[in-house]
Amino acid sequence: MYPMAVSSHSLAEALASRIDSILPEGLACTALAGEVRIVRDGEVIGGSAAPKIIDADRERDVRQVETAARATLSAIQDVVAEYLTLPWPVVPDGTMPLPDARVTDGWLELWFGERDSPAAALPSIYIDDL
Amino acid sequence: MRTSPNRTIAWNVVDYVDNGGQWMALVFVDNRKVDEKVQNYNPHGSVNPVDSRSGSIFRLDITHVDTKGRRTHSVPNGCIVP
Repeated sequence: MYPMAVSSHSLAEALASRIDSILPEGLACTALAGEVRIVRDGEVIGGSAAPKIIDADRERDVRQVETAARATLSAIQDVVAEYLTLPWPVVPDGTMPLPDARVTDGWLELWFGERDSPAAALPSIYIDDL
Repeated sequence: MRTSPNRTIAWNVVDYVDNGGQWMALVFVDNRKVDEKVQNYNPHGSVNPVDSRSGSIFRLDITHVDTKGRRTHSVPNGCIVP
């Protein structure tokens, strides 16, 4: 279980700050009302409302936080790749790696590709800080 | 909806009459919500294999309010994940 204080709003804000740290130049990531948005020149070009799926989770199962994070990263990956018209992030064979997320010892780990050798890894989120 | 060799489920929704307006997509696997989209363009997405185990039921719940304010809703649907 995760703390009662964890909400879609706090998860979206934490995810947005991590995603922002790996975005290509010219793009920014922000959070608003439980949604994550990609912004270019002040205009929202896409995003994800996936953090909201934890609001209906009465069991407060960390599995749902992982799912919300994966879905968010997947949507953002689509937005960025469509903007760049290139795979993002990209692995050596030119394909796009799957996003993934896992809670370990209270930390939400986020990455694209293989966990042991990710194509891109985002700074982890301490669940109790959400 | 389409599956891939890595068991990712890709999906897309289009309104061939009026594709503009506001969209809301709720994505379920075995009645567990695995994604949500609220946006002003027709939604598409993919479900990670971790969240779509073989034999589970994949389902979309779509609401669309087009540029003329007409509201449409998806019919009941579901696919068994191979």
